[in-house]
Amino acid sequence: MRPHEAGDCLFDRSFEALDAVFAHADGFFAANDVDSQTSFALKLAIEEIFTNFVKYNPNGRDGISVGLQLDGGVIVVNLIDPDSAEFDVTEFDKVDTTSALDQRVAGGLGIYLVKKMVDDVKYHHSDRTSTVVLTKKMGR
Amino acid sequence: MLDIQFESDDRLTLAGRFDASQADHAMQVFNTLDSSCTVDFDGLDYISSAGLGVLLKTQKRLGESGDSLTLVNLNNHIRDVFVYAGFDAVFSIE
Repeated sequence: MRPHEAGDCLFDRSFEALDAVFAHADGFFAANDVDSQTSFALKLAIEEIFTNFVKYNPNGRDGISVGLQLDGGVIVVNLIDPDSAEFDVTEFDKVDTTSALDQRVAGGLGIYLVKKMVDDVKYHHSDRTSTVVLTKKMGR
Repeated sequence: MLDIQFESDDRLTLAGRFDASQADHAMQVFNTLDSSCTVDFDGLDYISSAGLGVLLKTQKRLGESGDSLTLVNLNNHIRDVFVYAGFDAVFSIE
């Protein structure tokens, strides 16, 4: 495997898999001297998408794959659920960040943060496979 | 992994990573708080929406009796997350 790629790895469909997911991402970031701001943002985005796949499709067959690659200073992350109905998790970003404490809810915050932290988020569904592609330029 | 330690009755420290896999355990710990508390983030490297949710639920519960959480020693990345989420308006952050 070339150092600027961390090929697709398959992870259990559970929150407990996050340790391994983070280790996979951290290995890629270290090998490519990715700055802490970029790595923090991408780890948060990866967790939010991964846990949404788990939350909204807990009974899907097989695991969820995560792959990272660096191309010309831009990091591209692919998260793939290979057994899912069409369900665009990236749409769940309606959150009020200005209301008073007693009216705040945590729901929807994750995807809202993803869209704040990365440059682009795309969802695609085909043949029962959901793919979310995250893109972020390093150092921004 | 997330480490939560009580330094005293009104001060606890967080260290490690506050992610979705740690939220249930953290919620149990925060549910033991029954008055205002300072939460020291000095050893915390990372937080996601799952961690923010635990803090928000605790802040709302404590607020019903006039108490609150005060958050200290947030690193810059975590502080950015709080600002993006608008949580800098619902928590006292020092």
